Amino acid sequence: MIKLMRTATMICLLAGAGVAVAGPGVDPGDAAPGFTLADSAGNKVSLADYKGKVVVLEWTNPDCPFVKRHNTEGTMKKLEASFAERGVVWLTINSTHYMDAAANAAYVKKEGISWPVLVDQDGTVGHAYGAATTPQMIIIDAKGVVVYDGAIDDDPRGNKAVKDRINYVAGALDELLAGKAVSTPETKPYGCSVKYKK
Amino acid sequence: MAGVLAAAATVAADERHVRASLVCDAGALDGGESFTLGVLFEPEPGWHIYWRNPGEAGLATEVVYGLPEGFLAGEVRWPTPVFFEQPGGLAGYGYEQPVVLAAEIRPPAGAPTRANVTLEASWLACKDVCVFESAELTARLPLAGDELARSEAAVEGWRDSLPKTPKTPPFTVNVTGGPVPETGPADLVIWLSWPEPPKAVELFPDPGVGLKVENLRVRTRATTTRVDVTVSRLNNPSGRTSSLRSLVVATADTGVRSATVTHIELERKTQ
Repeated sequence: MIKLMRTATMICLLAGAGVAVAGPGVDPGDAAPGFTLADSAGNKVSLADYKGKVVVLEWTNPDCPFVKRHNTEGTMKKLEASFAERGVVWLTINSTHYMDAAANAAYVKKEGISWPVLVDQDGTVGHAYGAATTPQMIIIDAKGVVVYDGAIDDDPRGNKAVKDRINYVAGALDELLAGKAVSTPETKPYGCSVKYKK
Repeated sequence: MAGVLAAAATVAADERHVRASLVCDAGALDGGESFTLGVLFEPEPGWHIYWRNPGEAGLATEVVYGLPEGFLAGEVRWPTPVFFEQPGGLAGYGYEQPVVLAAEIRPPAGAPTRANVTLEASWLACKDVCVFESAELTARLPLAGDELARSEAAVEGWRDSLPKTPKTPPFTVNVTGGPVPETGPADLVIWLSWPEPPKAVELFPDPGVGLKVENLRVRTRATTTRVDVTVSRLNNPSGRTSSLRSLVVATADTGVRSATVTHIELERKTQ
C-alpha cells in the first residue's frame, strides 16, 4: 500500500502537479526522486546533473535554532569540505515557504556557503523526500539510490563535545566511499518542523 | 518579529516564553524519607514544550539534577502529554499548560538538615517559531512557608497527572500485522477493547531510539479502538527493541483524561 502511494506521488511530480500534503517520502533503498530547482543565484540545478556521484541533501531553515547551532559550530561546512575533496556533492534545500531566492541569497552570503542552496518554497521536493525537520540529511549513492535518511548526528541538544558525537552522515559517507554498505541507513531526524507552505 | 524571536538562542529570564521554577515537597531532609524534586514549567499562552517523545519534530524537555553527595535521584517522571499538530502536518506531543517534571529523591542516612541543590532545565519552546530556553534553578532545601506550600500543591498535581501502570489495564490489547521485520516497515493494527465505551481515545507512542513510528491513526467506535501505525526498526546501540512503549489515554464523559502505560508486542506473529 505504501509503495503504491509513493508511486502515485511520483507520478504527480512527473506530471508537474503540486503535492498539497506531506508525501510518503523515501526510505533507504528507494530510488531518489529526481528534481530541478533554482539555487539562490537563479541557476537551475538538477539531481540528474550529478549522475554517478554521491550526493548529500541537507534540509535547512536559517531561522531554526537547531540549524543556527550547527552553523555556529560549522558542522555542515566542515563536513562538506572534507567530503568535497573525495567527490561528494552537497546540496542544501530550503523548503521554508516564506524564504525566496533573495532570502536564500542573503543566507548564503552571511554564512559564506560555497555550494548550491536550492529554493523549494512550494515544498515539492521536501514532500517528495518526506523531509520533516531542519536539519534533515539524505544521502544518495552513485547509482541514485537513497542510502541514508535521518539526523546529522546523535546530539540534538549540542551538549556533547564534537569528538564524542556520532556523526551519522560522516559515518555513512565513509562506508559508502569504502565500498561498504551503510550500517545505519536510517535515524530519527531532530530539529524544527519544516515550515511548508500550507 | 519571528526572526527576532528565533534569533535569540539564549535569552534573559524575563524574555523567556516558559517560566521555570523549582518545586520540592520535602518538609525535612534528615528523617530518611524520600521526597519529590522537580521543575514547574509555565508556558505563555500559545507556547508549548515537549514530552519525552517530542513527536515528528521538536526536542524533549530535560532536567539535570545537581544533588549533594549521597542523595539519589530516580528517573524523571512525565505527566500525560497533549497532542498538537506542527507546521507541515507533523505530530507533536507535549505541554501547553503548566506542568511539573519531577523525580523522587532518596536522601542518604544521616542526611544534613539543610542542603543546596541545582537543577538545570532546558527546553525547546515553540509557537510558530521555536526558541531554545534554559534555566539554572538553585535552592536551599527544605523550602519553607509559601514556597513549600506552593511546591506541595504543584507536586500533588504532578502525581495526579502521571500515567498509571496498573497490573490489569482498563482495556485488552490485540495486535495484527506483525511481527515487525528486521528491515522495512510493518503496518500494524493495534486493537483495544474497552469494557465501557470511552468518549475519546488517544495513543502516544514512546519508541525510544530503536523504532520509527509513522502514519499513526486512532479511531474509536463504541467499545473498540483501532490504531493503524507503521513501525520499522532503527539501529539501537543498547539492544533490540521488542515492544513499543505507548501511552493509551482515555477521556471519560466527565472530560477527565486517564493514561495507561502499555507495551505493544512487536515480535509475535499475527494473522
